[in-house]
Amino acid sequence: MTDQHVPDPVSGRVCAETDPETGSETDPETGARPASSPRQKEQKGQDAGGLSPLDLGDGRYGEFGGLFVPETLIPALQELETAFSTAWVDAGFRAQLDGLLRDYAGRPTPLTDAVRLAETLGGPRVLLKREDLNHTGSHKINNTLGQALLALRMGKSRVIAETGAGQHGVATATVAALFGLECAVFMGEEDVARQALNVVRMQLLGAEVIPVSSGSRTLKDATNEALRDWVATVESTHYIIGSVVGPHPYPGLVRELQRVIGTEARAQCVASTGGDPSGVIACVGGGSNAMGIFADFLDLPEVRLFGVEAAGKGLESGLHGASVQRGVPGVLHGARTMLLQDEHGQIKEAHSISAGLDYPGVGPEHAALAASGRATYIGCTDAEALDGLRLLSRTEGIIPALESAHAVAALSRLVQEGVFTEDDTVLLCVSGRGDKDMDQVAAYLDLTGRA
Amino acid sequence: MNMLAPQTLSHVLDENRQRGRPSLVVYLTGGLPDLTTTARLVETVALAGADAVELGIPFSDPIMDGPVIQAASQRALTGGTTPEQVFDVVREVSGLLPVGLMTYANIVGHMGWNRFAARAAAAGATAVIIPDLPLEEAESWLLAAQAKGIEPVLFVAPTSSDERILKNAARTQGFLYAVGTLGVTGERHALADTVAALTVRAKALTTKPVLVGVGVSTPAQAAEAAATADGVVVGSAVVRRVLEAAGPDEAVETVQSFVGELRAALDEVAQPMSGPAFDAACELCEAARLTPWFHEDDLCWIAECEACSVPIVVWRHHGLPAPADEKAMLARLGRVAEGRFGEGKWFVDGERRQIPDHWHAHARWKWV
Repeated sequence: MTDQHVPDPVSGRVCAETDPETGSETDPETGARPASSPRQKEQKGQDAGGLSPLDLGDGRYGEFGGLFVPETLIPALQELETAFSTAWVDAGFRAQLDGLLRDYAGRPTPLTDAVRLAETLGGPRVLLKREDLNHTGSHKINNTLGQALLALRMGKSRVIAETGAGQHGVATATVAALFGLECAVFMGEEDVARQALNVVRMQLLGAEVIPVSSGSRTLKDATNEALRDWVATVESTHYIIGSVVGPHPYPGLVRELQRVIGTEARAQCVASTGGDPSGVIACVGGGSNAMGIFADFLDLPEVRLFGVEAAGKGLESGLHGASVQRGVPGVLHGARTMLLQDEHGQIKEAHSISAGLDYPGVGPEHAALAASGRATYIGCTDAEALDGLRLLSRTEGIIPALESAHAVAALSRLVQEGVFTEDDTVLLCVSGRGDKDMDQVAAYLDLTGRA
Repeated sequence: MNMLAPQTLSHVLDENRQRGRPSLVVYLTGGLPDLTTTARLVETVALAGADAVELGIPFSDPIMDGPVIQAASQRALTGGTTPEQVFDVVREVSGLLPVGLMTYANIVGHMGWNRFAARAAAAGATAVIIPDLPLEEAESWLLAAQAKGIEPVLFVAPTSSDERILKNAARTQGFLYAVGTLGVTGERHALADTVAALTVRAKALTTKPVLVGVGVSTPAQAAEAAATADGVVVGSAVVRRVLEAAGPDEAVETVQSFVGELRAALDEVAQPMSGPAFDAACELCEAARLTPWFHEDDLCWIAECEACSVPIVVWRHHGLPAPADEKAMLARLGRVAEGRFGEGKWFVDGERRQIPDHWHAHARWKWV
């Protein structure tokens, strides 16, 4: 494992004064050269000199991972791997990224002791990692800030992204605006319809939102289209993949950029409880918030890890997004992983109330963690997720995204099943906030007559 | 042993190249508009002059394909096309011309590398092309293909370094698939500049046939590409005609005339060899090693000219080569000449004074 280099999360959320000259704008030129960036001055005293070179290995996680892409993209992936592994041990780069995470994204995010939720569930102490409080409303900004800096470092003037719920699209459009990069976001037509608010946000930020009408018109097809764009524009464009999916080096790269979630949470947990949590719960679509919060706990076998997949209308209904639990190994979007597919190897459509979990694949490292038994993957249905959303809203005054609501619902079930009891402390990742889902949630609750 | 064992892609494309005849490979989506018509279309393109067919097994998520082949794949899948059914089509037509299968890694991997190779071979396919399986991931597949006598076709792209071209050229069989442009399959208004740059580079590094695919849309573009490559793969332009046809008969008719036009355009740039590939009376065919040899491969040899004492490159075959091979041989001569005379201090003397009917060229010192 690589030494980690993050600001002390326990010291709280005291932001350094933002330089009015640079607080909202960074010249791509100077942004690419952290040594000349005023932001770096704020980082004096930090030293990344002790970092060892980052080795993402060959991108294989057990039998999963790899790089299954057209020949055209191979040099770009090799360039990205080199750029990342050198940047990650470059103190200037890390200082610039840490500065942005602190002064722009709002890190460290708090760890909220969910007392009323815990009382209601009648079980363990629950600590919420509040990724919903990041700028743009989810954990996605951790990744896009890092990848935008890499794009600048590689001299790319344009970024593209795929998006499901729109959270990654918004986070990409945001960093594109921040650094003056051209930006196109591919989004399935169905998601454009159900996440209209995020479409407006992306457009406001100056990104071009390209609706994708092929296939199931959701995240899978948006990813296909982003890959096709990249094959044609690879010389000027960096593809900011939004999750721990895709060809090597993306799964490892995105995990490292999201690792900050778990690193902070662990230190915060130790500070407030005196020890590590007994369990960690996070939702899994592609699985970036889960991989981020799991990463620092992987070597602690006493900490149980739970990934929560979308069970949609039920795991037995065939209408779900539970690739780990119901998929078989295959190759999609550049990696070998667990996939929902038919008997001939055609990819099936996923189903979830949550656009961010509506994906027939999963990050290859999750597939490997499931295969090895290190992490456990469970499913929560659309209905359970809605219950989870209401539960967290009413007990803690926190409206989670529908994706994160799956994790809340899973916690509720695990407590009922006696997996976690009063002696336990559970760390739960609230990966994003629920504002984007309000139209949809209102419609669902009306339909069920429960609102 | 099957007496009707099909000719491989290598046989047909190598022979074409040696005859100075650009090769034409036509892509068709299996199951478009239906399986019966797919078989008819293969017969049609064979009769219209294609040297080989690349038959697609449709996949739900074809990331290397543009809108036309996406739509074709979707339509074939909606029609219920399965890999087994495409194998059945191959079984029906493989006696006519070499048939390669083209599909994505998940379709092959789902069946299993060995099983897919075995079934493809049993059906009579001679090659398989998998656009999302680069060398890094191909080892198991290459072994499986080799074991069943399937030729695996590998790719190079405008972004490929010379080192990668060499690696892919070393492992590919049948031909080296040169992606003509930065982008996915689809028709383009003009042939990309990247075609000439990539194919000249690739042909300087390999003696295997180099065919250009992706963005070769018209007979004129095919002819232009054949000036630097050994042939072309035409897909979207053919498939679009099938998609737009009112019915199977119209599809067959329109594809027949289009493939005929492609063949005619390619034949115009061909340099048919007069006489046999070897002429016992020709001094250059004899290739006696009287002086030091600097280089030799399947295409040509370079030696010290007995008469002029400068490097001479000589084609392995009697007669005159296709333009693409000529360029490739001159590139090889260039490397020897750079070493001999220094950068920029030489020129190609292409005049054949003594033996005009066996291609050769000299590199001579240039006074600078």
